Amino acid sequence: MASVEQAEGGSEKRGRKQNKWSQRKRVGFHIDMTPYVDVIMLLLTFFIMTSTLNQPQVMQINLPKGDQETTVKVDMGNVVFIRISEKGNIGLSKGKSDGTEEQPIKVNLEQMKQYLEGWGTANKDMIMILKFHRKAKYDMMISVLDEINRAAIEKRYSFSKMEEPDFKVLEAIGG
Amino acid sequence: MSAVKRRRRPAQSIDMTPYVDVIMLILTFFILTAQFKAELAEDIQVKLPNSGNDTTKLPERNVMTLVINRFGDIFADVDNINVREDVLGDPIGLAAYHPDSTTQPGWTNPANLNDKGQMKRPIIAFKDREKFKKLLIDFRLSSKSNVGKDLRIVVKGDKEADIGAVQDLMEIMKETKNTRFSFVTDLETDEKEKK
Repeated sequence: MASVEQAEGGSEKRGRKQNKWSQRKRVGFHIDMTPYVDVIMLLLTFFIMTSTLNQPQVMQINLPKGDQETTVKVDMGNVVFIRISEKGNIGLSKGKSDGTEEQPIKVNLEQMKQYLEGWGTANKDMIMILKFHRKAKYDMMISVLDEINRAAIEKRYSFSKMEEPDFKVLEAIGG
Repeated sequence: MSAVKRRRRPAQSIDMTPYVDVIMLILTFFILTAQFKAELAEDIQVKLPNSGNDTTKLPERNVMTLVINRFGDIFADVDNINVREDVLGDPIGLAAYHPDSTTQPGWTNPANLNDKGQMKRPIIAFKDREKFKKLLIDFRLSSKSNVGKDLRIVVKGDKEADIGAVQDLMEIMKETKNTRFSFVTDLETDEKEKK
């Protein structure tokens, strides 16, 4: 472009023309960003909408690997029974070394944690046996496990089936 | 007059560059953190229970999800389409098993499973406990040969589900040597904790 202008001659004229030209160039180089921003905003909205920031949590459970036949002998004195009734009541009872167990106590979740922390610090070998009534709600089970996980004790627990004697124990605390 | 006009024009237009820069950064962030949930996996709706101190996040890939709904049905699903095709013979099939023989399975009515009242996925019902056990083993073996990694197992139970179904499932998992699994929970909010 410059050479073309030079060929046209006229130094005064050329100077004015160049000035004008460079001014026009500045205006012409201004890119209109509006459509670009529009598209980016759309993309942004899409990703904000579809992203899932609160990923669900998981609670790790390890079941014993042993076969069905392998039984572990434990001292009943270390055992704590946690029984959950159909209505969602919690019966907490401590085993005695002679194979019997103490009277069950009816507790709520908060009290259960306190009892377990108390017994757990007194007896480091405490084992919790969880017995849930089949008709109790899964929500209750998670709450109990959560409370045990929260308690500052060794987390040694096992799941066990609820049998006839357990129903009788639960009846003692009001079912 | 015209010179003044010309000089004013560039000053009036707002420089969008910093604005676009920031938006590009935000966009990049969301693109990188986005995880696309497989629509199919959400076909059965459950209300997750809350728990307070689980910090482990749900694994993203190579997961076997066992969903227990409030009717006590167990649905087994893997996230890999090849594994599904391999084991179930249907790439979008969903295995279902109802452990409690005294109650009716809930999947007979699709309205029980989600709001929309229709299932996108065909349900492959298992009547026999042994066959369902074999299915879980097959899922794991097939996943190992297809993906090369061990399946991680998560159990997604509905709040209202009976513990009986969960216990039955745990029994099955124990028998199939799937002893490591996790329960999916929602983070408990402070508001709920006060109650």
